[in-house]
Amino acid sequence: MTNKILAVLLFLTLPAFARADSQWVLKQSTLTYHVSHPLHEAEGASHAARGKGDCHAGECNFLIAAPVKSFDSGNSNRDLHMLQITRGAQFPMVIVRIRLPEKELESPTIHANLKIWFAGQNAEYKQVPLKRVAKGNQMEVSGTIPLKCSDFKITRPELLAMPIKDEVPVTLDTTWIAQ
Amino acid sequence: MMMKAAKRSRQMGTVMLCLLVAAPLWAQGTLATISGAITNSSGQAIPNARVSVENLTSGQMKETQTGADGHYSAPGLMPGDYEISVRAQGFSTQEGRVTLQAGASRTMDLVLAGLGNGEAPSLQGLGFPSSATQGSAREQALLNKRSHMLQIHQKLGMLTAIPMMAMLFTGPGAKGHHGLPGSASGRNLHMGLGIVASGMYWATAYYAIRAPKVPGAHSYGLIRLHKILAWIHGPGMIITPILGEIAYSQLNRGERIHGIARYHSVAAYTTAIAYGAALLSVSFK
Repeated sequence: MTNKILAVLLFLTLPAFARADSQWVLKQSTLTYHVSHPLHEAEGASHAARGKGDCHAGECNFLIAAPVKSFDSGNSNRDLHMLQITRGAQFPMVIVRIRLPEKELESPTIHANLKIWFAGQNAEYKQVPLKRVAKGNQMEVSGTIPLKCSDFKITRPELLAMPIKDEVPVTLDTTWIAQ
Repeated sequence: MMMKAAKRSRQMGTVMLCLLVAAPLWAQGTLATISGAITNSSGQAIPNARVSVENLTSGQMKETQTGADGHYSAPGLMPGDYEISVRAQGFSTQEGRVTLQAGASRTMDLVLAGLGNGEAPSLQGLGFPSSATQGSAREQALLNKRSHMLQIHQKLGMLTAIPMMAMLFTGPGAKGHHGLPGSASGRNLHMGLGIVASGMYWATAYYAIRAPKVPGAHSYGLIRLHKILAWIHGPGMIITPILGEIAYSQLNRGERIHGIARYHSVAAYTTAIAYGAALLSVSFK
């Protein structure tokens, strides 16, 4: 009898030791690229990103994707030129994959490994610091990806015979909701 | 004699026909084919993956795409060592090497790993419409042409500003001061610069007007101001030379500038200011 009770207790308490799986959905986001040119600075933002996160067996995989043409810099000519140089018609999506240990999601600063598909090329950014703020069943994740034109074989656009800087940092502000 | 020539001609024709028929048959027997299936790690077909087949000796590249069933085929390859490279949106690039013998048909299946763990979450799971995720080489070619033409427009536009500015400086020398006509050489220099500026201006305009329009795109931001200003300096570049020509004739006859020719300077300054503003509108934020 005692053995049976112990077995039942053990069965009931086992799930508590196992880490629970969790899913996240991107509720809202702003991805902004920053371009530096000797004559001026410009930035373009997209609010059209969609994303999902899946944590399983202590590891989380997040995916954020946005159409390249959804980036708006407030100037249609610049946006079309950006679309052209980034081969955005041929490769219409920018896809960011983030892989990290699940325990990182408990920390206020996440160090994530990012894999980005953009302009028909893959590039990897390791240990990118992202700020995380938990709010109930939601979390806000923000940070800057140190993107470079050369990482994606993008020819830097020129204005008045002067090219933009190679560095085009992309800031992301995202709000995720637990499912 | 005629009979002999006709016979020889028929023989030559037969030989040529044999060669024409034999050549493609020989080529068919020599050329090789590589084909295969591109799948993800779950075995699902990946459509629209870009498959590049590069001959490692000659560097010749052949490109193809997978169909809806994830299959690709690259026929007509010369025998040799090849590198197959497969790219697909959301997946890591996968490469493989193969040696093709004459007339051989080889199969090379490749499995692409996703950018993350290869499985979930996937781009397909995000619910984007397929029109948003499917690339278009045609649209890209249109954008490339548009950008190329607008880059020429931009560079020519900057160069055109030089003779235009020079015209403004040589204007007083052509017209003269205090009612006295300027020198003939001053007038000729001014007119010569006008012809150069006008030619360059319309060449600049051509590259903007003829640049392909992107379907569905509409103008916003300072580029609208740039286009609106073209409605000032464009007509200005028609009116100013006409008035200049009238003024030139009047001065050459020893007359003072009169009638509508008096508005040549006003038209020129208005055109130059609108042109300068158009340049600045796309140069600064």
